Amino acid sequence: MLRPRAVITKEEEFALIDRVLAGQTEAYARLVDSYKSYVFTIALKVLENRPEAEEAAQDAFIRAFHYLKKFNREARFSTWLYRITFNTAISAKRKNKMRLDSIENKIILHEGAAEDALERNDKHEFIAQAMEKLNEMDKLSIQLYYLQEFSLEEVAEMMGQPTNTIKVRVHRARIRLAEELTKILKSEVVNL
Amino acid sequence: MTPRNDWNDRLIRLMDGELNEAEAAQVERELRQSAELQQQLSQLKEIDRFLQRQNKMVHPSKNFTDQVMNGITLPVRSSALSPKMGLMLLFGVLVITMIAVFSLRSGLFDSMEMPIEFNFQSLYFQKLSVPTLSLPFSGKWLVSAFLILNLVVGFVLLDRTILKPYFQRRAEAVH
Repeated sequence: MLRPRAVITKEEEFALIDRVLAGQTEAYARLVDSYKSYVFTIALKVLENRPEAEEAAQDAFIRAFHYLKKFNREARFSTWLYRITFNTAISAKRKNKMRLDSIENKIILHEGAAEDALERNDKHEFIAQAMEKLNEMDKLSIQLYYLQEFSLEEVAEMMGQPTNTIKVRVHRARIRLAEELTKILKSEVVNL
Repeated sequence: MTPRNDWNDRLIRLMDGELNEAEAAQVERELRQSAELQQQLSQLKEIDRFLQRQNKMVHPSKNFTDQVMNGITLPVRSSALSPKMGLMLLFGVLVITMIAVFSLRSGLFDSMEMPIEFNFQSLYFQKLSVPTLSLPFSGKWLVSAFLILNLVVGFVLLDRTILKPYFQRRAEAVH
């Protein structure tokens, strides 16, 4: 799968980090601008709720800012940031499980769904139903993997699991989706 | 793995180019002969298309960066207690401690000394001879233990609401 290049280079990232650590806080805005969509997308995949995802994404950036001194520069800043985002979103999800889901805020799986609503066929509706049958980690693995912006290694890093585990999760999720889709289609035929 | 899922596994690996030449040739041969397998493959491709189409990047609100930049200037909350709440609790702990100390010193609990006796004989062991259990009870000890516990709680509150935030701010100012 072809993966697009990151928006800023590693050297630019490190230069910006040096400026932030030297007290030029405003340089952090450039890092936020560069990665906000990536961070927001990850948070939205985990939380499936736009306002909560926005809050979690902001928290992730704020946390990253406060822990910037601890960033060891062995990995890319983006990889480190995605891991913080994933953990922040997972914690938020656990906290939010205590609250009732608001119907108005709940998005149905995917942000692009609304614009694609007219052209989406029944089969895609059934695949979306099948997605709900996957366990949480498998579902997140497959969703993040299929976002062209992240490599398998990046998904593994952000989820804190070995690359092979994510590969197995994605493969297993695809098989499970096919299996669930077959079941749904069969039950639809019976109901007709 | 069921035979159907075993085929799903092979078909996914065929789509991903993970089968070796011989395996791929065999799967393709089977595919040509089986309408069911062809349908399975088209279903897997449909799932792939769905995932690629649906998983697009999304963008946060326009003022996202401003909100983050405002957020980073706020002090980090290191404890769930607000300083005001912490100070109020600390004050409460100090008042309780002073009352307890005053009561102890005035001898209010001096008369509360007696043994507590546990007599099981009359309850369950009427035919057996069971010795009576007797434990000394002192009101002074009880209040002293409560006082120590109160002081520990007071120290934790002092640390969370005053000392820790103070040293954190000092460390940040140095950097």
